[in-house]
Amino acid sequence: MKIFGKSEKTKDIARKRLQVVLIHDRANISPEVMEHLRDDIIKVISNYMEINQQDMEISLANDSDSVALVANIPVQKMKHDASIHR
Amino acid sequence: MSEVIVITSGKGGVGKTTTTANLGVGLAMRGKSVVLIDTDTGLRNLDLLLGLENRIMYDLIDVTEGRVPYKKALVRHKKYESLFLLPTSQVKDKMAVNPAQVVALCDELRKEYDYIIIDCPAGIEQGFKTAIAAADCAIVVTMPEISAVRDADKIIGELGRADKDNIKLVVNRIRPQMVQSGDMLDMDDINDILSIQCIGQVPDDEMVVTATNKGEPVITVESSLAGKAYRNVVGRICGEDIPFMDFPKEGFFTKLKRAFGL
Amino acid sequence: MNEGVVKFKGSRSGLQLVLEEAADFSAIEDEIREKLESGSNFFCKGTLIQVVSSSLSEDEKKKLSNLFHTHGVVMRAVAAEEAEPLPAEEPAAAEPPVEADSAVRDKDQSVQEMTVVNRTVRGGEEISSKSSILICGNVNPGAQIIAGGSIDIRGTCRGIVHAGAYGDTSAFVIADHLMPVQIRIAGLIARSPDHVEKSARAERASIKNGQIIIEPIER
Repeated sequence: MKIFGKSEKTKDIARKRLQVVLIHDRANISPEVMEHLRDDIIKVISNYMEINQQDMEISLANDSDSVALVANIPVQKMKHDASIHR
Repeated sequence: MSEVIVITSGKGGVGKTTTTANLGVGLAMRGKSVVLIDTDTGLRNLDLLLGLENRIMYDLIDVTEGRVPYKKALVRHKKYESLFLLPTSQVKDKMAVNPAQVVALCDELRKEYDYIIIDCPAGIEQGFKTAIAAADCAIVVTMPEISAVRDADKIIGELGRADKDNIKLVVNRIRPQMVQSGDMLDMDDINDILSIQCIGQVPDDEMVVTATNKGEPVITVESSLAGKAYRNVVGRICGEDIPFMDFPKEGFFTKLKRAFGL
Repeated sequence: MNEGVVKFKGSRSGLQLVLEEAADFSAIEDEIREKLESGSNFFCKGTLIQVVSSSLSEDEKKKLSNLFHTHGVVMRAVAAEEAEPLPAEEPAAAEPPVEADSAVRDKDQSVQEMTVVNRTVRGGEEISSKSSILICGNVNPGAQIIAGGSIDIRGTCRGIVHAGAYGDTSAFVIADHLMPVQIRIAGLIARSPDHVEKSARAERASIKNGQIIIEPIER
């Protein structure tokens, strides 16, 4: 820990990591479900834009009172001629 | 020639998982290809120490039960490309894997990786027996504290009965001041009782805590004494002859300097 | 069920089992097995028992020995005339038990053997023998050595040692460094002092004047 510096305190890093890990542990989402969820998201979004599947990250996050599904999906290109099925 | 090493201790909390993570990173830093296997099923922690907890898709049980090939379950380390983690399940328990499955898995892994390091759970029951089954060599981790040493002795006996005779010792969490003042067992006492070759003497170091907070093993921290001790252990595993560190006794000014990050 | 073909008796040195001479062997075996399996913890692990009978064949003795062994009890067979006199019959006797034991020792071949262990005995292990035991190595805390005869440790003794487990008060324990958690010789127990320093000399523990004493010796 640097007294005069501004880098994040490691205990805060630890707390955040712990919160995420505990959600996963408690939610008990099996990897298969996560994988299917990921595949489905890829399919839907790919209708509208080209995305980088390799660098895509999907996980559960929470703050003090709620849980959120967080997806970080790098977009390569928009599809202008996307056929939107309604 | 690949080597399968099991890190065990008997007693919990002496630093098995920390040692596994640090040795894995240390060997990968030297260019070796390494797979770390967490066998503490139900209470997994190796993923946390490596900062890989967000990247787990499949685990050891998925592999041993044939649902996925092992390559799909391996998690590559963020920084060291030749280091992989095979995590275990947080949901099942230690009865979910048996020794034969681990032996079969390690036989596969031997073909592709230089080192396979298995993090063994505490205790002497099924979890322990499963973890040691495929090992060529065992590293027993202990601390200079009588219950830890007693458990280490028992574990060495158990390893012998399982025909695992290649056993090395790492003594962790040493406090040089306390050894100096005669309030902590010293290396002579421990070596006399355990009588196995010592390949590591790691001092107690606050930086291990911050390293765990960040998910970056302390071996990567230049200024850490524990990190240096682990680097030495890795050297000895690779056949180098490295003398044990003389721990400097901390004076007031040394402590103050450290607080300022100097 | 045949009541009483097998009688258990307590004596100065331990447990005795008296068999009715004319009894059928299988009845004897059944009764013993029943008692062992009754789970009453009458026999704790490491108990030594003298079986008194003149009419058992070697084969029968072996069978009984195995049966006891599976319940952690060590058996020694003695002929009726060599058995230690029971308290009810000789209330005043102080010497005879010791003499009887030495007489038995000379006759009984198995006591001449010595169990040799060529390694350090680790915590959680137990070495037991009807005769004497030599350990070439240490005896670590948590290890137990139980001998009908004497114990010699060429190393450091930090465990629990019991010599003369049958009641042989002339048995002794020797070690290069004697720092056991507990020493027992025959029926006496001694506990090591709380702060034990590693002694420079080899020492012997034996019974003198009804107590366990420790004296330095030259190897």
